[in-house]
Amino acid sequence: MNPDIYFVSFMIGIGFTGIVLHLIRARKLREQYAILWLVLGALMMALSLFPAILDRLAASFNVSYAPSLLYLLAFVGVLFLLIHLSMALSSLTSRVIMLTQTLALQEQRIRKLEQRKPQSEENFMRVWTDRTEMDDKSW
Amino acid sequence: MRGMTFDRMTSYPGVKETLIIVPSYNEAEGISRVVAEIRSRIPYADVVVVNDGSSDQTGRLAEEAGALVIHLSTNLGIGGAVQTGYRYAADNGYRYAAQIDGDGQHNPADFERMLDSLRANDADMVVGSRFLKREGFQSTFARKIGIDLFAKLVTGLTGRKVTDPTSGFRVCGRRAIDLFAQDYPTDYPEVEALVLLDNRGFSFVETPVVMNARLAGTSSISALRSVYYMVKVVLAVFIAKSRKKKVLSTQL
Repeated sequence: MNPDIYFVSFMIGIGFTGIVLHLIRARKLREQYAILWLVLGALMMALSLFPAILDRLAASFNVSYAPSLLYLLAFVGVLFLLIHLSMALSSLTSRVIMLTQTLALQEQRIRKLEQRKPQSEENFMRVWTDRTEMDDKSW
Repeated sequence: MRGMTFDRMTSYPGVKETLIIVPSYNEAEGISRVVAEIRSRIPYADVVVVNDGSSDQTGRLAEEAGALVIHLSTNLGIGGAVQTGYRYAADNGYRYAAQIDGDGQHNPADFERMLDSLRANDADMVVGSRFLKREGFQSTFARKIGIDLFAKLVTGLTGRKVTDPTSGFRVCGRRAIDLFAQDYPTDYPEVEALVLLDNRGFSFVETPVVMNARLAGTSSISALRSVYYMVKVVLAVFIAKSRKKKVLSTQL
């Protein structure tokens, strides 16, 4: 029975990695964040192909029940992934704040410039209509 | 620099050196009066209302009352709004910038004394404190306890006497304007901003002012949020303080 569950978890690992690769290709996941997930998929596959790695690791850390080491490692791994996401979120937040401010300042500036130059706008309109009239004549 | 001066001279009649920043979020009821009051009390200053993504008529009313209005397309919170004002001040080369809340609790008549104090003390920022002379609206009992805690915290950490660290009535000189344009805390920023200044070796002093109860609207700090507020500010203050050493060690 044992080989079966390892085979299933290997297939899950392959499927997982496949989905991550597909998401990168579809541009729904940036490589920057995907690398972490790919590493996770590779680890899943490695551990299901060579479960002895886990046993040996458990023995060297004096862990009597090898799967509990797996849970610990998985938990720590997920924790780091979450911190990574919180960092990405924080950086996005400060960028959004910066951009919103810049946008608002630029909009204010544009409105100020538009109010300041009604005359030159009239000139522009006159030149523009002159030109279209000329175009009409040359037709 | 020449472009900047040219821009200012052509945009406004006469060169103004003072900017009043009024952050406001859904203050339609009171904003007209606040802007009118500021313009009559401080006629030599430009007034910019930062409309922090209000869902009511705040922005339009402020424009009609004669203020320059900067419309933020989403709500950034008080810190993001105030920083927009400081960025505007820095971009346009103002010498002094003051923040006055859009809800009418600050009296623009106090501004001149604050500006005098800034010049007299050669300080980078002046904070209007309602507790130095204990006149006017003194805040609620529970809130006063919190403010006292912040005051002791900031006094202890910076070695400067602070009585009203949450006051949003402030006047800044050029150095503080440039600093805040680059770096200003996002939510509940007032207390942290003091530590930020102190970290740079900038000075700030308090001047007694008389505050009113709010003209309209409710405080952004509701009962439910006050716990988050306390925790966030205390944490932010300690983190901000711990950054100073880092700056020093990289300089050494």
